[in-house]
Amino acid sequence: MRNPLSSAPVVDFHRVHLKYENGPNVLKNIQFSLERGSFHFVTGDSGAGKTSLLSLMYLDQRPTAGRIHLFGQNLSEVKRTQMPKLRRRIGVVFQDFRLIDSLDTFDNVALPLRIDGMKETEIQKRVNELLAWVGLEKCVHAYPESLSGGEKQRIAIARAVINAPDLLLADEPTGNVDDAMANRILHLFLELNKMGTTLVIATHNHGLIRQFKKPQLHLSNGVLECLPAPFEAPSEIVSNAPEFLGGNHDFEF
Amino acid sequence: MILNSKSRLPVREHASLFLSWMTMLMVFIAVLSLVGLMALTNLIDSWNRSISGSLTIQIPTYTIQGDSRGDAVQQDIDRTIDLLRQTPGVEDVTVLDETQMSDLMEPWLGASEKITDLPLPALLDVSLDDSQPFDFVAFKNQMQEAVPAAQVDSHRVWLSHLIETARAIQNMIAFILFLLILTTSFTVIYTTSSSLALQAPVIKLLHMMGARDTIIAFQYAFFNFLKALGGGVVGFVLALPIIWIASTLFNPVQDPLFDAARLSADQIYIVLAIPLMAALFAFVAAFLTILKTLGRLV
Repeated sequence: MRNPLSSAPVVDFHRVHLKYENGPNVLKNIQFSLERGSFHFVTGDSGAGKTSLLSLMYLDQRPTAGRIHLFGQNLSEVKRTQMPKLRRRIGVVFQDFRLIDSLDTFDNVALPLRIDGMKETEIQKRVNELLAWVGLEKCVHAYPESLSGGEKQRIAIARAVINAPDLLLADEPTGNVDDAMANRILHLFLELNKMGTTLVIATHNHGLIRQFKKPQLHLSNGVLECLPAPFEAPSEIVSNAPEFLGGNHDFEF
Repeated sequence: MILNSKSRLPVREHASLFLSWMTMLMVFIAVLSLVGLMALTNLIDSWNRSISGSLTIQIPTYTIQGDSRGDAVQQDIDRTIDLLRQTPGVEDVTVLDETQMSDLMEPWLGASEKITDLPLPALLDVSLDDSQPFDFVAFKNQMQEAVPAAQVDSHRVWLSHLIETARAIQNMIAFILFLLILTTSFTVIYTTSSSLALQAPVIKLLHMMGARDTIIAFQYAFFNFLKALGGGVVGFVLALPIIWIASTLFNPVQDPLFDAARLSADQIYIVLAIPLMAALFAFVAAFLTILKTLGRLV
């Protein structure tokens, strides 16, 4: 999946415009590149176009104009049959979670691995490990309707990271959890980032932005401005995240 | 990639319940219609076979002339032969001579009797060409005009009337069956589309996670297949007692006329295949509908 020698940006937008049918331009002349292993926050007021920007990255829609390269591939030239492979390299945490009501916690989280064709024994191991880490080991067989907003959010995050994606896109991933859990989740993201996962997190949480000191893609009325990291990023970050995500189990988080 | 039972597409049960009910009802009606159609077809074929091959025409003697083989009789025979020659489906005509008549009458009259002294009718043995259709009703009408006194095998004409009636019923059942197939097709397509609308968020999510379109479509279609098959099997089983009751009513022992209505092994296999065919149709309809829907996504 990953090609460490690849020097092409993971995401590269070139003069991208997005307009919904009969609507105004949601995104205007967007241009930026995200290198492998980078970590960016997407900021901006409500309706600024944060979710639309992410949706272009997770291949939910095509730009009205402009060119998008993902993992070095020009999306306008990628065949439809090759799209699923690209999608499997992207993990998405949706603002509205998008959990499948007819599946329990375990099966919701296991879905990306099953789509990828992983063996059931490995799925069991990975999912149980990750669910324990996000504090949902008691909800393994619970269905979404019986869970709180925070629990649903953690399931959505677990599902997005379970296959250690190359690109992780998260839309307000800490909106429904307390500060301690938000911190824990961000550390999981940092673990993934340390392994080479490119992170893009849309958030309103200025506390997180200040704490993690990462560059921002700031949107205002559909226009993007790249803001550098306010301060130098913290040095080595370790946590007890699951081993398959690169966690250090000796560290008590 | 064939997903195992744990990883099959997460579809809502209640969304496809309507499909099971519809398939059950449709298969129930289809089985009854098809069994009826097949039984009727078998009967018609059998009756057709029984009236094909040959035909006997009797031309009565005219005793007032005192000569049973007089000119009038001969004229009737000639007119009959002329008419038969003009009728499609007639292969050969033989007027039975005295020897043949004696042989025919021997069981009743004995070998020594002079049949020429008796007022027996002239008999015409007509051979029919099986490869050509022979219209008994039309021929009988023509005979009544040409030779009013002549008698064409009446039971065959009666049977031909029965065949005509049976054919009308056969066509009606075939038309009902056609309508049923058409209705079932539209119902399955509509049910699939409606169900798909409920499943759309899940299907879109799987698509965004990188599941291949064909896998998503296959999973969903296979679920549809199982639901339709379940409903179809129930519909089939429900139709069995009615078929049994009908077969009892037309018990061959009581009425040999309906003996030929029994279904052949091939026909039974076709009837048995109805639930499977309905399920396969549900599968194909769902598969194509989902592929079309997914095709509209990026």
